[in-house]
Amino acid sequence: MAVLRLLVVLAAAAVALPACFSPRQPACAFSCVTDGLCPADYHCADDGVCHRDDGQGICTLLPQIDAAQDAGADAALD
Amino acid sequence: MHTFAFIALLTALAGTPTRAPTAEEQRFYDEGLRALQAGDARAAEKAWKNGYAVGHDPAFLINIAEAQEKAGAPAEAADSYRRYLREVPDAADRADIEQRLARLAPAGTPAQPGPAEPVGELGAGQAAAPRLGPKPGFNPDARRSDSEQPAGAAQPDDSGWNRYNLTAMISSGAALLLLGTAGFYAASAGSNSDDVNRLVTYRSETGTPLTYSTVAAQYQQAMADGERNDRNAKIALIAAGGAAAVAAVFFVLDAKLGGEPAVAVVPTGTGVAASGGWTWRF
Repeated sequence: MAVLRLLVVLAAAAVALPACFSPRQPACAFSCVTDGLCPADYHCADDGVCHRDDGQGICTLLPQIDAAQDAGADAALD
Repeated sequence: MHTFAFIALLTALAGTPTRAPTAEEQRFYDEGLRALQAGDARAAEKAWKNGYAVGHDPAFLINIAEAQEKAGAPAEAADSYRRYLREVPDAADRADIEQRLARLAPAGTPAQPGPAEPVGELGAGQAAAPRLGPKPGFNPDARRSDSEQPAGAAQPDDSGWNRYNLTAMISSGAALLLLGTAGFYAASAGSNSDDVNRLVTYRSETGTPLTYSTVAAQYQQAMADGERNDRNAKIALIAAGGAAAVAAVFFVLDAKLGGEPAVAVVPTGTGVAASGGWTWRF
């Protein structure tokens, strides 16, 4: 009986273990084209996107600087 | 009620003229008590039989019977109790002994005291009154574990709890509580992770990510909360593990030493001395 109780406790501990704080840290995350602000561990690169400081991973975001220029050009045409 | 009976017995015994046990009897008694506390009921039985052989003090018979009970020999225990009743027909604790005999009846023979007869290697029985009187130190009530109380009405000390299983259960409860706490914080941390991930991976229909400055407050709050909840979850989990380890140790101790008496009354030569209670010895 005691062993059974102990096993229940250990099983509960095993269930609780995997759940913890592990946010994603992609190679690039936010647009910083307007003000150059980025989260900690990220920097605003020339493409207007926040890139990881350690350069890990592959960024799949399109350069935001072009989009901003396009938007400005479109506005001028209008 | 049982406590009152015990106190009454002590009072009666204190007023009974007795002679001090001999040093040899005392030595055998102590040896048996140590053996019993160490969980070796057979060694205790042997020591007390040796003690009985010294002066044929019938009080040893109760100790012997208890040791036999602990050793899983109810028939032998019943024999020893019956012999005690034969040797001390007017014993103050006769009712208690008869209760024990009734409890052991399925394994033994009826609890009717018969003529004196030899019991085991103890030698010939003595129908005469005990020379030393039932020594308080050998009072069976003082050493019997709660789980071995005779059947009868519920009594304050008839709960089956001892220091080991009580500690084990409390530790288990604490472990479960801490696990629940850890689970709560872990779930909160998981939720914070999801919040951060949503912000980080958000894309508009044109594939544009969020501008950081517009969600900086949310992002920083979720990160801070997540790290704090994660830390709390880990602390609670470690504490739960510690409590579970304590519980495991005490479950094992309960299994091995659960029968150890909570209270011991020992002869002092001129009277009685009670000791014990919730003494946390390891």
